[in-house]
Amino acid sequence: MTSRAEFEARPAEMDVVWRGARMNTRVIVALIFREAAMRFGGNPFSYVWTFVEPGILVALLLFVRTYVQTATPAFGESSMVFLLTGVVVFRATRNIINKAGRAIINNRALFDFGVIKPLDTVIARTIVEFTIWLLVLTFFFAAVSRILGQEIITDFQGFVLALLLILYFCLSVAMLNATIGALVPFWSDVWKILNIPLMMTSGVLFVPAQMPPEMLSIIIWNPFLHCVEELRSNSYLDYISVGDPYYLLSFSTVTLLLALSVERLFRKEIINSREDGGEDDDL
Amino acid sequence: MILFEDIGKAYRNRKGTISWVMRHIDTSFASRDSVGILAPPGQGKTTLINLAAGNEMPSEGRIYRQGHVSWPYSFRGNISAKLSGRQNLRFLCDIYGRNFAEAYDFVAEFSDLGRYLDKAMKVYSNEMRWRLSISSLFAMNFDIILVDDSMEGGDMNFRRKCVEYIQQNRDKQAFFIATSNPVMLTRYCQVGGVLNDGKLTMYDSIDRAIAEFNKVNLVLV
Repeated sequence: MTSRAEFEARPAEMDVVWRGARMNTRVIVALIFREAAMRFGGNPFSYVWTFVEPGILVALLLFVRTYVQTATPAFGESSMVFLLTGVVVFRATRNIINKAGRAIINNRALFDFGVIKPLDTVIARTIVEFTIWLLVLTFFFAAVSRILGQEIITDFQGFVLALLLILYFCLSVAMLNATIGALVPFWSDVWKILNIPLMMTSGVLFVPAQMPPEMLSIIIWNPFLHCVEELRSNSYLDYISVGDPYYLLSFSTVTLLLALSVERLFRKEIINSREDGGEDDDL
Repeated sequence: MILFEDIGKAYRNRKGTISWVMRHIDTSFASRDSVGILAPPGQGKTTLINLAAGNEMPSEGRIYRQGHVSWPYSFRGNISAKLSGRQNLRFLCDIYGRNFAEAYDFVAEFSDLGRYLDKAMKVYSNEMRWRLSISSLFAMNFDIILVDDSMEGGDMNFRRKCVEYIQQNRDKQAFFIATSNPVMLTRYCQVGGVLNDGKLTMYDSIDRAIAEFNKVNLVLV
């Protein structure tokens, strides 16, 4: 046995905080590499599919627009750019949230480990998914600007800020979905149902500024609309944006605080929650 | 070294009444000597190990740790079936901040998994998973190794290797064992204690601890 005297030289409070922060960073970095390794599951086709899938979607919508509706593009010289900024960005945001929202349930086995806390896995997965979608977006924007010979990103600084804002939004909503989804399995069904109206009102297929004011006053509450608008307003020269970065910022902050408090209050229940086995995330 | 400062752990059952698993535990464990805690089944072995590992927060009191504390010996949730042995080891090294090359060399030599280390854990047999899990535990060079109930895993050859390794590194690594098997104490520990009815009593000699445990653990028919 040891005497208590050996513990007299306890580390100062500041040291403990610093050591904890370093430990937590290490855990998150380790989880990021683990998630990245597990994301594609060693199947080379899934790498290709990540790029092909949104391409097919945009092509399909483009086809419908030009041949079925016989209408002019909603905005800009090219409906390709319009759809790209709309559909791909909305899907990217939603997919990040859906994938990261299941991080806690999928990584349940890790929490008996002690060092890993539930939200670490959500952060790691959000970062991995965001990086993947950033690559996809870069690929598409580069391809389109090459094909059309048109400059897509007009304000690079604003574009980066919009991306950071979207990352923050994804992170907080994913945290809320992950914590509440682990506590109330019913929540994931609610979220799936919410997906359709959220997509319809997110300004993917129309220009929100051209909507009648009564309509606009309703859809303006949809945070996805602001994500799309933020990114679009930096990709068109004379685009009239209804997006408000401060709304997105405050929405995300409130969501984040809610998610953090739910996690702290129900950490034990979240860790002990069972997987319900739902795997479909695409509409 | 792990210091328990007036630790209590309580659970609330469905009716809302609070039952204390253990209370007023005020000792320090495993500074240089390996400690074995004997407890009859259902008296909080796993809770004690989880408290020491940091998986569970105590309901009252504080726990201080010095040195690196391992995950429980027979815990395998940290090993993912989707990843290869090498990737799993890399993940563990990243988390605990160890040098991957050294750990890999050690595991490759100790586990005898050979080229299986580069294959996904899905194709491993159960026994091979044990070998990877236990060799990576040793590769992390923990100061204190927590053992919950038993130290099984691997084939006979591998177990012999483990025992040899433990004998050789007795001065570097200390064990903190919670078990209901007195043989484990005589084999690995220098200090013993008995946990019963939420009270922990420490004894200076293993023999006394085992004698006390045998008094408590009687099943009267």
